[in-house]
This record gives sequence, structure tokens and C-alpha cells, in this order.
Amino acid sequence: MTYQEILRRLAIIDEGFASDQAGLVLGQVPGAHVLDSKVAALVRVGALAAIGSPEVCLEWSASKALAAGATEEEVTGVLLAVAPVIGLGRVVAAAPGVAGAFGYDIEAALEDPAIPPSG
Amino acid sequence: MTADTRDASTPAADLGQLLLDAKFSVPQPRPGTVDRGALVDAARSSDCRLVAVTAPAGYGKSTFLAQWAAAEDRRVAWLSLDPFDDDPGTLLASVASAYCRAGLGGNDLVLDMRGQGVSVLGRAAPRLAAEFRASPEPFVLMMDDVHELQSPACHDVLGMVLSAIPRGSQLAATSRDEQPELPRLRAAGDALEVEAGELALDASGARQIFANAHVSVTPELAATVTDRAEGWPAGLYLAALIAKQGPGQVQALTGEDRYVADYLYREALLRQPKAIQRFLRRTAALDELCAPLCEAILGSSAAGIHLRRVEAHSLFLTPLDREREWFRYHTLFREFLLGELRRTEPGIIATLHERAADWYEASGSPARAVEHLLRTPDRDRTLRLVTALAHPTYMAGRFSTLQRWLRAIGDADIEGYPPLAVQRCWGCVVTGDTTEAARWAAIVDATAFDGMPGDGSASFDSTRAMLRAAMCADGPEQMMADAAFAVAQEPPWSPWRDTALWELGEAHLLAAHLDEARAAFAEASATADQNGNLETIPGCEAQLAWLAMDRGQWQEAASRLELALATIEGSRLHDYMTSIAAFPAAARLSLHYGNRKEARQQLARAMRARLSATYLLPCLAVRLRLQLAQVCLALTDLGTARQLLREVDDVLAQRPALGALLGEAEEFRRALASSAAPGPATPPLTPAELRLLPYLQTHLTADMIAKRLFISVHTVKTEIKAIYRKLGVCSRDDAVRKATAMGLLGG
Repeated sequence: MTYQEILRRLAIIDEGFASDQAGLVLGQVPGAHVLDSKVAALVRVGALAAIGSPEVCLEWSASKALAAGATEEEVTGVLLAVAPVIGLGRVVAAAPGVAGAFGYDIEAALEDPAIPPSG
Repeated sequence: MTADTRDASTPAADLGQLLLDAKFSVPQPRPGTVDRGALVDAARSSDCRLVAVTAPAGYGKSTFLAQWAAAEDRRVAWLSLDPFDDDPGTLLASVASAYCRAGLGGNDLVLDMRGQGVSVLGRAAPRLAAEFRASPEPFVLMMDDVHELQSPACHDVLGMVLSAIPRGSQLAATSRDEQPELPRLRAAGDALEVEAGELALDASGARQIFANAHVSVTPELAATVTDRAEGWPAGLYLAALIAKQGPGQVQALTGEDRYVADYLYREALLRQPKAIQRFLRRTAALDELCAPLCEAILGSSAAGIHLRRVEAHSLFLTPLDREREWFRYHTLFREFLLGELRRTEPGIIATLHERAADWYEASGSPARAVEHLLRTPDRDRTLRLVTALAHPTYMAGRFSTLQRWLRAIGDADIEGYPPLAVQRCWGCVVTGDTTEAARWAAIVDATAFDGMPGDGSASFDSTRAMLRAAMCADGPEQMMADAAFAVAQEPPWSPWRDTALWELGEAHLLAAHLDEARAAFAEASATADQNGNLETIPGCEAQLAWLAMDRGQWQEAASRLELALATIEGSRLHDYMTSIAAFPAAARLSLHYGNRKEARQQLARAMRARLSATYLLPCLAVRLRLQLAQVCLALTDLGTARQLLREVDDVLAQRPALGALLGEAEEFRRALASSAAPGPATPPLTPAELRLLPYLQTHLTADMIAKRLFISVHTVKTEIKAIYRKLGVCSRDDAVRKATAMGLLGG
């Protein structure tokens, strides 16, 4: 594999590649007998936000959480729950990635004059 | 719609055929044109996939291509573009027709180009591109007047098709302006540019033109004329023509091209008798002309004789058929004549178009009549005719034509004519335009109309009831009442009865009246078959098949699905709203027979088709997703099942009253919660990612894709990464290949 492909695969978080080539077995939840996969996936969202991960990590982990059965509200709930301990900057930085996983375009929504006031 | 209007929706075979032949035939070079052999050789031997001929009107771009076509030993596919091609679906159909007429391409290729909206890029364009790549022999696709294509979407598909042209084949395209495809291919060294400078004639070319017109000219004079006309070929032809009729005028050439043109044309026109001048001016209102049509709009039996005389004496007519019955004026000359018409007889223009519309309608070409009516102030007649043509035009897969008519008429006039407002609203519903659909639904609800609607339905109230039933904005009871009302109104021969019955079936499903639902679907399917409204059949048969599977009657389900899928394939109904239900049912059946691969294929088709089922058709949108989710659950694809359930919730948030579907959704939610699949769930492509996917086939950059989809660049980049990850690839080409293999792109 060329270095270019390695970099591309890392940039998009190719799970198979991460597991085979980088020893990061992302697909499994070791504590599955204690935490169910949804809870584990939500914890990962919180942890990635906490360490200031790049946007793609948040998008990846949030879409994994949705696939594991979490709702959008639960994922954003995690962000609010960890906010006091990780700080404003990190939680704000996490929002766009999470929105990406929901298919919600924050930037377009902010520009849209027709968006209804939220309740 | 009566049987008459249905028949009238297809132009009389001979006329329609003839005009099509002209569009796809290499124009016959006019006698006396200057030989461009050297330029043709350069283009042919260039080995560039794009030969872009860019020059203003009158430089002989088409003539150059025609000469090239005559000298070509590869297959030549010719296409003269017109303003109607400025729509991606129409454009692809035209390119496919040209390709097939060149003896290339499969029989089904043109039919496969049907579709609307983004499905053009996702389905039709890759189909045509694949056909080009697999071409059994080299070819040259010649496209004349590419400047007619103004919309970016057309250039998106054109760019894709161009990339698929194999080595050894070429696209030769003429345009008045630089083509958007050019810079990319120029950078890759894959484009040969032919510009005005190369097409301009020198003194020897001028001498040849004068000699062909039997006008003697000294070398000095030829040089002067060439110089003054700046080598502009049309100017030199005109100069020769004028000189032939009145020596001494040649030297009067001065000024810029356009003024030279007007001056020369006026000179040429003034040398004709008054009657011919009037004939030329007035018939310029026609896009194409034949003697009977000219007679009809001029109200004079001499028109045919005038036409022959013009043909015999001038250089301004292009024959469109071998019999020399149909003609078209040269573009520049027609523009000049139209200017003259507006200047001298502005009051008569509308009358001319009205008479042309009369003639086309009487000749069985109502669609062409509409094109003329749109240029008259007679809105009433336009509204009535478009209303009558709306349903058959949609059914014929020409949705984009219908949309263009509606845009040309304008919303203000449509609002004033309720039967067409209903059609306008249907258009918004099937394209998923939620904001506009709500606005039009409100307009339709608030109006009344007593006359015959003219769309083939029994009454305006009936049409409106059907629209309301499909949109189901006021809950299941109202939907049942609306559907039952429409069924009672529409007689067996009505082209709307099958739609009404299908809606009644859906309403009974919402009320959990399974027997009544089955009866309604069965009657709808039979009526649709009888009336030739094939688009209703797949939806009804698929629903009946699903119900049969619920009862364990797999044999019945299999035969019903066979009919549904065969109808979809046969009539290319993949993108029709009513076809969507067939795919999850087919997936379920395949799964029952242990064919997981087939089940996954059908599932992919359904996942892709679901984009068009929005909350505007809430029953369809929710039922489709629940059925799909059940199949996913059976395949232990929990990630996709959960995504679908989220989408169901989104629809329910907009349309909370959906009868039995609510219970079914809850039941499924419980089943999903209690199921434990091994391993972590994989997220599927979201609807937003699916919408973006077709654009990966083009050469558009992220910011251009963002503009097409009205989303931010940032989102495009995020979605592209997510798409790659979910498909397990890390390049754009691989993503397209993988998505095509999975059935998410292509036919």
C-alpha cells in the first residue's frame, strides 16, 4: 500500500485498515458483556469529544452510535453531559462532526433565512 | 382525458418522425461552400477526444462538421441541439438517439434515458457512459450548437458522457461560446480547439464563393471584401448574393459583423418582391416550416409557391428532409427577419403563433402547438391545452417538458386556473419539493372550479380529492373520504380511475381493512391495465404481493411481483413513485427463497428509490421504509433498519395521523429493540449521502457539488468521507465502482 493510500484510509477512518495495519480494533467493544453496544458507542462519542478529536472522528463515532440504536437526542445528550468536564471549546468543536453524522448541515441551516425558530 | 387527447399526445408519426430525422441527420452541405479539408484532417488526426469549434454565428461551424462527417470513415452520430435539449434528461435521450441512429447502442438505450431529477445523473448518465465505453467500434459524436445548453446540470451529464468516450473516438462540438468542458480537457491535452480565426476565409476563399455564385470579381476586390468582412463566411456569401443581383454593392461593406449582417440581409431582402418579403418576415415566426403550415399561418394559398421560390432563389433555407418539404431558416437570417417582423408588423406576431398552434393541433402535434401558444398572450387556451397534456406527458416520461411549460406559463396564471394548479401541485409532490407543495395544496384547497377540468378527470373536485388523498395531510378518515369520492366520480374509462382506486386501497390499509384493500388494489391494477396506465400496476401488485406474503401465500406473491417488476422494466418506471413498493416486496420474496444476494440487490434499489418518497406522500414513505426495515432486520442489518426507523419518525413528525401505520411502526420498533444481532451495526448511506453519490461520477469539485445540492462545501466534504468509509474505499473512482456494483448507481 502506498503512503498516499495509507493517509487517505486514515483520513476517512477505514476501520478494516485501522484494525489490520494500525492495531486499532475499532469494530469490537471489549466490554460488551457489561456495556451494550449502544452505550459503548455513546461513551466513545464523549471520549472523542473530550480529547479534542478531529471532526471526522466525531462524525464516525456518532454515526456508529446511531447504527447501534442511539437516537439523535441521546448523542447530543452525551455532548451536554460531558461539556462541564471537557470545557466549552471541545464541546463546540465536536458539534459539526456530530451534525454530519445526522445529515444535518449546520452551516447551511445558519445561512437559511427560512429556518423556523426552534422550540 | 378522452381517448382523443390521449392519441393527440403523441405527435402525428410522420411529422414527429420527420423533425426527429432532421435533428439527427448530417445537414446536406450547401452547394458552393468552401472546402475545409485541411481543417477536417487536422481534427481527425488530432487524437483529441474533444474537438471544440467555437465561433460566432455565420462562421460555418455546422458546415465544417458536415464536411467532416462526409469525410469520416468511423461511425458518425449527429445531433443538432435545440433549446428543448437544455434539460439533462432530454439531452441524454437526444445523445442516445443519435448514437443509436449511427448503428451503435442497444435497442433499449433510448428508453433507458427516461427519468427525472437526480436520477438522470444516477441512472441514465452512467448507463449511456457504459454504452460508450463498450462501443464495439470507434465513432465520432457530432453535437451542433452546444451553446443551447445553458443549465449546469446539462454540462454535468455532458462531462460524464465525454469522459466515457473511448480512445480512437471523438466528440466534435460547435458552440458560440466556450464550452465548460473545454478547460479541463485542454489542461489534459485532450482537446483540439477550432476558433473563428481558423474558420475565417481568405481572399481565395472569397474568390471561390463569388465564382460559385457566378459573379466575376477581381483579385483586388476579393481581397478588399474579405478584409472588410474580416473573413466572415456568412458575410462573403451575402456579398456574393447581393453582387449577383446588383453589381456595385460589394464595396459598400463596412463596420462590425452584426451591422454588416443586418445591412447585407436588408439588401438581400429588398431585392425580393414585396409579397416574398412579407412571406419571409412572417414565416420567420416558425421554428420549422412546410408549405401547408405556411399557408395556414398566412391564410394564403400562394404560400407554397412562395416557399418554392425562396428555396430556389436564396441561400437561407436548410431543408430538413429528403423530400424537401420541411425547412428551417438559417439562424442569423431568421434573427434578422424576426427583427424586421417586430419592427414592421408587431401586431401580427401573436396571430401568426395562434394560427401555427391551430395547425399543429389539427395535425395531431399538440405539444408543438403548446410551444407556439406560449408565445401568444392567449393564456386561456395555453392553460387548457397544457392541462389536457399534463398527465399523458408525464406518463410518456417527459416530465421535464411539462415542468418547462409550467415555468413558461408562470405561477400567477396557473393559480388562476385550478385544474392546472392541481397538476402543478402533483409536480411538486413527485419531485419532493415540500415548501412549494404545501403552498400549492393550500391554493388548490381554497379554490373552486365548476367547468370540465379538461385533464380527463370527471371533475375538478375529483382531481383535487385524489391529490388530497395522496398527500394525506388531514388523516386517514379524510383520505378515505377523498379516495371514495374520487372512485365514485371517475367512470371505468377514466384515465384517473386506477389512481383513485389505488388511493382507496391505501386508505383501507390505513384503516386495517385488509379485504377491502385487496379488492381495491386488484381493481386498480386491472383498470390500469385496461386503460393503458401502466404506472399504477407495480404499486398495486407489489402491495397485493406483500399482503399475500403476510398470509404465507408465496406462490401468489411471486406471480404478482413478476408482473410488477416486468412492468417496471418494460416501461422504464424505476423512478415513478408507484414503483417503489415493488423493491422491498421483491427483496422479501428473495429472502424467503433463500436468495440473499438477490434480496440485497433489491434492497439497494429500494434504498436508492426511497429518496423520492417524502412526507408529501406519507403512506408510501412510511410503508416503504417499514417494509424495507423488516427485510433489513431479517438480514440482521440492524444499522440500516434503525436508520429507516429514524426516517419513519421524521415523516411521522410531519404527518402524525397515519392510522394503522402507527401501530406497525411501534410493533417494528419493539421487534428491533428486542433483537440482538452479532457484532456492531454498520451505518448505511444516509439520504443526504445518497443524494450526493451520483455527483461523484462527474468532475465537479466539492464546492461545485455544494452549489448543485444547495448545501455547504463543508458538508459535502464530510459526506464524501463518510461515503468512502461506508463503501470501504478511499478514492472517487473506487467509490463509483463499488456503488455501481452494489446497485446504488447505474441502471
